[in-house]
Amino acid sequence: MTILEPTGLGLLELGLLVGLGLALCFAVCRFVHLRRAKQQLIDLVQASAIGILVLRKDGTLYMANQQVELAFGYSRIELAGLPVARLFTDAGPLLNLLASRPALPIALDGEHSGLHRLGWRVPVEAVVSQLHGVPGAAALVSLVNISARHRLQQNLDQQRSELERVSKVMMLKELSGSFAHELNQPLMAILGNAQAALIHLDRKDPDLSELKDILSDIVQDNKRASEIIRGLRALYGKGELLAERFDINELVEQTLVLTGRDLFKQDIHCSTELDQNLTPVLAVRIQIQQVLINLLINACESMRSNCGPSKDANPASGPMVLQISTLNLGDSVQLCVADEGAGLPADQCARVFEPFYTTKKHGMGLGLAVCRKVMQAHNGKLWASDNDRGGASFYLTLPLATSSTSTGSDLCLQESPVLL
Amino acid sequence: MFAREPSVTLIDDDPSVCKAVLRLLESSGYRAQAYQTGQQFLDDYDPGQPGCLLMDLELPDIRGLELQDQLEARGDAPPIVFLTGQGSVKDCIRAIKHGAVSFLVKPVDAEQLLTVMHEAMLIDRNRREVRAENSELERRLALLTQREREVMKYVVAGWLNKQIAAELGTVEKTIKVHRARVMEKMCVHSLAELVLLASRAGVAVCPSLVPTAQ
Repeated sequence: MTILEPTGLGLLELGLLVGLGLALCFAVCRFVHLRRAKQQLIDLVQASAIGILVLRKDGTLYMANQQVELAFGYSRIELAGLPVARLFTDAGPLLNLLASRPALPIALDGEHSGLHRLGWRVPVEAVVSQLHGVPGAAALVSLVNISARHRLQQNLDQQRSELERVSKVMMLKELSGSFAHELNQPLMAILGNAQAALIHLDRKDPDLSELKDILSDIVQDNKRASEIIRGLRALYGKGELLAERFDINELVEQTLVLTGRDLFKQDIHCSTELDQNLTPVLAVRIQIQQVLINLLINACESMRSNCGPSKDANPASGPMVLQISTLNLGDSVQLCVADEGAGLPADQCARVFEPFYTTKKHGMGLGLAVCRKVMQAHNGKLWASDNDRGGASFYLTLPLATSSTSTGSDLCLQESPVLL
Repeated sequence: MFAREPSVTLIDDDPSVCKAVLRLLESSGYRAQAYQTGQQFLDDYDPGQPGCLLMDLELPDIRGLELQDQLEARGDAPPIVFLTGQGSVKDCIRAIKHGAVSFLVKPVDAEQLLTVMHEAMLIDRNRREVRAENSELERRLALLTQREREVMKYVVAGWLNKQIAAELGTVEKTIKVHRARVMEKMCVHSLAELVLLASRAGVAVCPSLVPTAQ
């Protein structure tokens, strides 16, 4: 018993001591473990490919990773304690979002411009998340630097506008004779009439009613000339691309007037079969006109290159015929350009719309690819097939103005300008 | 000299251009008419009508240059002036090489147009005069007999009657009669006139100019 007493006490003390020791050990282990975990966390944050900002409640930086240092040009020491507003040209939306303390991570709308230490802008996208378990830190902001994407986009835009320019120049070259002629006709009439009027006026007894006739003819021809110039400016200028309601038949007729001289000389006859029951379509008129001109140029080139020599050998065969027809399909309008050219083998019907695919000697293979893009932007279609006259037919459809008034318009306007 | 008044024929498919150019020509004292296609013009074409042709390079049914070739092939082409809104240098050169009087580019000034019209009208008048003289000459030549024609060759070469008689194996008196008939049928009064007509008509002066006997 006596032996047991001190031993009992000793055991209790020993137990306490051991307990304390274990607790200490555990605490030290935990501390070391935590430190390691924190370091690992910091390493992870540092290694992240996106920029990470950890903010205090007052909006100053608690921590930032290397991506932030790189994108914004500050050193880690400079970043510590920096107000986050200093990193943005307009930190308003970000601070508002922080103040609202979102429960879930939430992305800031659109692009924001960050401010580099040296003053230039850094385009970024940001996501804000709330932090609860980190003492001293209130929120985490992830930033993606999109400068590279921007540069790429700029390059693409530049390339596209360059292509547009080249295509336009090619089309202009193709049709310049027509345009000159169309413009010179009214100019000739105006000049002739005006000089005839001057001669009349030099007479002793000028015929006033004749002079009146002459002047009203001059006015008519002047209007005609300005109409042509307006059409040309719309076709080649940098006009706004606004969707409007228009009649496809009217577009066909006007386009034939503008291009007819160059395309349909004596060897090619153009016949039209226009459905008089057409409902107006809603589209960017100029773009549809450019598509149509492209199809006409292709058709005429195909017919000439196909029938050039044989036609000389057999002039009695008469001119080749290019058919343009329109059709009301109920929910859309269809336009067809059918030629008597070389035709399209089945495998080419799809390939002709691929960029840089061409069957022409001097073609770039862009026309039809761009045309299809334009038609798609209008919720329309463009396709090709063989026809029973041995040539190719190109069809395009456009939805009616009534069936898709809002969506059609939005689509056309959102789509970046796709011009020929 | 001409019973018919010369006129300008305009071919252009643009009605307002036709109207204006006709007005200008008519108010400047020309007679003028217009056609819109090459075929309409050809259907109505009268080679006897003096004047000139003023036409567009690209007509709806035929190229102006082809119409020029067709008229040229017939041999009675009027002087042609092209009036174009889109002429190339190539077309211009071809047109002029094939005998076009001028190649005008729309819009053309009245002064320039009228100057060219005046020139074309003069060319037409000269051509018609020459053509009329030639046909008259041919008519007279056709009146000559085979023998008279033969005698004329020697006469215009400067042979004396007796030399010709010796050459053709006949007597001087016969040659004298032939010579008188030639002079009469050719409507000339002197040897010099006959020589002039013969050279214009291209009568061969076959025997050597140097008489064989002195």
